[in-house]
Amino acid sequence: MAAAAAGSGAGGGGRSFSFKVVLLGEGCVGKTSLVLRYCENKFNDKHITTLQASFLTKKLNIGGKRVNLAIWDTAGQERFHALGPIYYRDSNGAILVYDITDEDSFQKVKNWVKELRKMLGNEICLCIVGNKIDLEKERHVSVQEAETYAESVGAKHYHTSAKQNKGIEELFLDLCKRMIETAQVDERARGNGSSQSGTGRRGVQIIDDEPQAQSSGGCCSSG
Amino acid sequence: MEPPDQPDGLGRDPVYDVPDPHAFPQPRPARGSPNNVSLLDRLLLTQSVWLQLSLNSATALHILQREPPGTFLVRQSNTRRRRVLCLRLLDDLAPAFVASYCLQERAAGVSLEGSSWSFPDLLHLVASYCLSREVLPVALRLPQPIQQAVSHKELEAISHLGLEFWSSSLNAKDPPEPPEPPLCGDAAPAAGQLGAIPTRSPRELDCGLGNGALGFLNPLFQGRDGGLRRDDFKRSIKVRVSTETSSPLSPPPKPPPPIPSSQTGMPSTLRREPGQNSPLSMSGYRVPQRAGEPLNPKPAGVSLPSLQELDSGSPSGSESEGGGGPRAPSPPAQRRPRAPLRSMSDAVLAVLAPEKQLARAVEGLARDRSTRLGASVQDFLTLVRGGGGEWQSSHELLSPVRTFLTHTKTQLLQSPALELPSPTLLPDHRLDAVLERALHRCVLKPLKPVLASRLRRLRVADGSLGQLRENLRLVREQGPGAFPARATLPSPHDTQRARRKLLQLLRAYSPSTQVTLLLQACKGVYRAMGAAPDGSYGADEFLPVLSFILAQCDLPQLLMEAEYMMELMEPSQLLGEGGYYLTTLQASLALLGHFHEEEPRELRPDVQRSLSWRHQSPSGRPPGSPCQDPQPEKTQAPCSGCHSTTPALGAQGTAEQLRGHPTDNSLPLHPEGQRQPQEHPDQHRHPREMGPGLRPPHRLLREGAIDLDEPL
Repeated sequence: MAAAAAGSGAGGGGRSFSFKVVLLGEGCVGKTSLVLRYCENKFNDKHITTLQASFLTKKLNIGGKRVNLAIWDTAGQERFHALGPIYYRDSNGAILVYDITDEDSFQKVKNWVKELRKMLGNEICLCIVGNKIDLEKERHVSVQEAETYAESVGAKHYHTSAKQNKGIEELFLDLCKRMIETAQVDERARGNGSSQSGTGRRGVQIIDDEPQAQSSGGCCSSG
Repeated sequence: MEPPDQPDGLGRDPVYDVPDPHAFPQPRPARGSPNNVSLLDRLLLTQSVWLQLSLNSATALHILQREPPGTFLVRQSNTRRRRVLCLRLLDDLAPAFVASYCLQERAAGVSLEGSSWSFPDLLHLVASYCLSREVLPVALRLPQPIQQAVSHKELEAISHLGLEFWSSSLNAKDPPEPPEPPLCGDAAPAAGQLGAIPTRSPRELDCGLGNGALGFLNPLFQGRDGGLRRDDFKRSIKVRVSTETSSPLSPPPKPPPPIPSSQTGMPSTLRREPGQNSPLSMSGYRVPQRAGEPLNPKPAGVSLPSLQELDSGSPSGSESEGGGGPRAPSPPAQRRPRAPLRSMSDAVLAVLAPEKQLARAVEGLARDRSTRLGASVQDFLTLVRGGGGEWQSSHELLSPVRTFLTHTKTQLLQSPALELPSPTLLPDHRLDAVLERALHRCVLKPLKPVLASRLRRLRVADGSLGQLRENLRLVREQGPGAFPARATLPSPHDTQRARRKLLQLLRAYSPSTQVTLLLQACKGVYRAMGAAPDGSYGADEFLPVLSFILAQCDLPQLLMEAEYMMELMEPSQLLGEGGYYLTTLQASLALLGHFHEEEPRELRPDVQRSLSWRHQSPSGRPPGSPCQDPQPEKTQAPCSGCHSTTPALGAQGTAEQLRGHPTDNSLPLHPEGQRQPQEHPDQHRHPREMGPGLRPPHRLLREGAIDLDEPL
């Protein structure tokens, strides 16, 4: 598991966390749009190319804790399923996206959940995301079913619309908080007081001088 | 596949690293024939190969011994204190098989000692004697791959090898390992596979020669007579000059001074052989140059900040430093500091110089056994070189190396004894990065060959290398249908460009450099994919296209290289963009390595049914996407958006594979033994993707991965 808070180098500020979040879900459920919406890639010239939305980054400051998110997209087609472990190893969080109008995509999410729980245990924070709520009329996965399922596997459930930009900020903010929590619990369990501390700079919204590896490309700031 | 001659639209600009593809729409010279590159350009671009000033005579003899008559090197003779042309003679000219000729270098020009023929510079001398047999016992000849290269890019790829070219498989007369196809039969692309190789303009030569390449280029040379296309040549020199201080990642702080363009007042000293074709008139290559165009390639750094964060500098520059070739001291201002400058611009030098000093200091110490660092490094090198064959996986093989790097770096950072030159001027992460790179040079550079051969042995032994090679062929045969993609499939030209980057990656020893090259290759792939309908491509589109390209590139060695990078990269970088695309590379190779398992050898009736069904239901693919040709003559399911099955290789084989290579993947997935495979029927395929008659696909089981079909 990527030691969340460990990161590398010394940031200039308070606690700093680097999280890897893997994005899973079938091909057409809109996971790329979702994360693209969140990271506003089109205004981001920090990646190898703006043509890509496979790897996106986002920086957050949550209550003085700096969070560098690296969001790893995966190919959702069935033939690529077996590649999953190559991508999700060392992930701190997983966002499992289905299309509320597509029952099968929800089944697929369930499969991912089982697999992730099995491979990564409870250390990984799972988000199950029903996307395309703008198509509520065509819904084929009931809210009740989805939420019950999520609860049963220790995941959180969210409803989003990438198209209408609904629920996305909440999803990621919530995920980050949970990952921070998990990291801190993990840290305490290891009796490893703090892996990174520094002076001041709490409350700084945008972090601009990052330890090198974590800052790869992220430029989006948000609060 | 797109036709090879597809005209380059603006979106396909040949310029690799220019962020705005519309910036340089330029005519391209005719391509595909070696004649497109002049002899002078060939010589110029490959100096790093034949101009080996630091070479001793024994090594020169050793190299030339294996070469055909006419092959030559230029080196510096310490005893004679001048440069010497070493020439391989005909075998029957015994006793010696190599003759050495001193070069006289005067203000008037360069000549062979004892010859009255003088040339403006070494380059012209060599070019002349390549064409003339009058003075030397045999005409000089460039090695075959250089002679046959059809583009500047190819030459550049060769030049990256430097001295290593001579021992590289590229130059192999008979491949040392028959099963391995030559690293690059890329001098000429496999017929029908890649199509014509486009030339590229010098502005694309982002990081070609070593730094000293221009050391002897006389900017004042004249060559008007004899049909020398002086202007052409000069322009290409200009570009070289301009790229000299630039790198794809760090723009030069300011443009280099232009070479004086005055052509007057310098009588040409170049003479030609009577009766010869004009020796230097082979230049059919024009550098398109339009008024107002900047000479410098626009630095890719603008769009590659994440690369900068990898602290890569110029890949070639960083790798070639300390290499065998001649180098003029390069200005230290090649790297731009990541952190915003806090003071004026001239602080750039103040910030950058220490990096270089530091790197040099560390390298110096590491070579000196009398220091603690030196002893530790040298002992480690000895230890690794002498290591027996006990490793079962790339992780086992390489993790001690990574551990040593990390450990040594930590020690350096903590060592007050090490008098680092003004380390305080460097922010912490820079310091870390500089040390990391310096250690790559001290440790990985000497070890890469041995590590590479051990990795290779592992992959030969477990058959994965052979399988991958075979599958790459399979995929190439299948064409675009093998990986149906929504995005535009790259043209042979794009493929070739990616391949060059990947070739460079194979040559590099520093994982930081390699990652940079990988990112550049990936960027090229994205660019080749064209504009995404909704703005950007995600993994759904990228992975199939990358896999397709990898198959076209036919570099199965990437299998080992990816492992090398994955294990030796600075661990924190694995989280970044470099880590992501390295992971994607591994994923793609894994996919390709198991491609055969997806392909039924014969179409069973049910598969046929499913095929026709599949074609009606493109599952997200727009009609007309490149997979509508199932190539009826092949009995394969060519264009599924899904797995087809391999009846032959069932779950049993799967389990065997896993047990056979329990720790192989080198991807320490789950070190605590969570890798137990289980077999079970796949239960959750999407009906849209799986034909009704299709059985559960045999899943990818890259060693160390898990069978994901199981219900978990």
